[in-house]
Amino acid sequence: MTTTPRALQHRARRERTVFQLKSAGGMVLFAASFIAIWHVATAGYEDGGLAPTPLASGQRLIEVLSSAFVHNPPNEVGIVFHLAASLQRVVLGFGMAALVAIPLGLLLGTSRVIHDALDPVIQVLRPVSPLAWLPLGLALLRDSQATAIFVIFMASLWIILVNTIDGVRRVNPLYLDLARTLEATTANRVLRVLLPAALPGVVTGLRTALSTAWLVIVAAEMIVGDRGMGTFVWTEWNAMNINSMVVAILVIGVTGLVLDRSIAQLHRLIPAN
Amino acid sequence: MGTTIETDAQLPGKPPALEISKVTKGFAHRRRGFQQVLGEVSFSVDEGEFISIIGPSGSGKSTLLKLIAGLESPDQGHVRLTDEQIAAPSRRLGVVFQQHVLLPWLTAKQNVLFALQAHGASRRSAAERESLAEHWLGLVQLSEAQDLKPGELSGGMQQRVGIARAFALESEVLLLDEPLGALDALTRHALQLQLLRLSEQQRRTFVLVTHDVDEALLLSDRILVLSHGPQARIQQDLRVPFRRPRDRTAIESSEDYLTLRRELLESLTAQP
Repeated sequence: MTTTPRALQHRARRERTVFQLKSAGGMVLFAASFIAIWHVATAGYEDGGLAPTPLASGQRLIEVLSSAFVHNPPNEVGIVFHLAASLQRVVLGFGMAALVAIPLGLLLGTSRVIHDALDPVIQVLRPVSPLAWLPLGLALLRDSQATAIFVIFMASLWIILVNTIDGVRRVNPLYLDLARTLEATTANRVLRVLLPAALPGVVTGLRTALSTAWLVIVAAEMIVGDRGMGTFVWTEWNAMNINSMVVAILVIGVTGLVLDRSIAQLHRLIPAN
Repeated sequence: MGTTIETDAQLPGKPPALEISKVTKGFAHRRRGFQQVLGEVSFSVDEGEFISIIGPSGSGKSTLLKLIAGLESPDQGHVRLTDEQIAAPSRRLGVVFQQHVLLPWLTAKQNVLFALQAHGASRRSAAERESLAEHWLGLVQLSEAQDLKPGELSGGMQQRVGIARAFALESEVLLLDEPLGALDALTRHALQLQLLRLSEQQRRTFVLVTHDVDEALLLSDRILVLSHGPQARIQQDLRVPFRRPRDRTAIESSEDYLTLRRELLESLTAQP
């Protein structure tokens, strides 16, 4: 066996390729057996009824995707418009929550007094399901779009807030001592020391909040939306289009994955060490 | 470069650079109750003097340094910096911390620059600050590494950035809290010489906390020995008579060195 660096490098690459092939093969095998079991389990429902079959779901997926951009409301609205409506609400509600929760978290993380004063409120409101805010939102805002955004805001707020506070608490106290010995201005201390040092907590909060927001928007739109992924699920269900449920789950799942992967890029901002 | 043996030959009426008078400090522990770490500590440091504070571990050396830095306030007594009483950290007092305390998301140079601009108003232009930072990093032989982040530097290099940062501030008094304590013996040895050279060229006032007797003897004009805590006091105030500029080999082979060293070690190991 040769042991030149080149040969070792080559062998390592080949081993990696073999490993990747094995994983890919496993994935295909798993998907195939899943569909096979699904097919067997739903045999007898091909002519309709309340169970989606693989074949019918596949057909429905093609139908939905081929009319994705159809825009002829109120009856014909393509999936792209539903998806865009949901994403818009999530981005707005989540963004506003981040704008409130990050500065507030930096404040509460550094001031013990303010933290202890507000903590009971946070602890009581945090475990409340975001959907419980929905009727209140409708009553106060009198607008379904604003209410959906408000629910997302509430769903994201506590998660970002609590994680930011936690991130600030984990900041090496010597960094703050350093800022004091340098007589750093408040702006420099907060923006150039505290925030970057607390970033791991902030990013964890943003990431968790965004996936939670995506979970919540579907449920919220089943109730208030005239458009959105939740509305799509609910109207298709009312039309007994059970095969659409599979399509919806697939679209929601893939979108959630993409959202999570995009916001995970924020981790790159966090310095090593 | 003058000799500093006659540091007590101050002009009459000129206040010492640093005066610590009757300072006490204690901490409340949840289980052990109130612990008086420092019992009345008083001493003063003349301008341009290099003093070391040594003591057994847990004797409150670092607490004392934090009090001087204004990071903690004394229960009683006060710390004065020439004419001003220290109640909060001040740029007149530069600190080199025990761990390097560099901001990991900034490069070595950015860390020094941050120190120079953190307080907002600076009488220097951005270009001047930049060349000042480069100058100091050069003096600790880090010009090549100035654009690396702390995570890419060795422990010794990180601490040298910390030293460059403290010097660049041009504070009157530099406080060094066991700056070399976490380094391996070889690096520590090299950095001691670097500190010796810098301190002799810079003629500022230095307060070094260390538990290394040889380090204290090499660098200082005076050594204060803190007694074993709780209620630590200064139990000895030794003058180190070696001429400057100092040469390590010459000092370490002198008769005085061995006598002082023995005296210090006896003092450190003496039971309260």
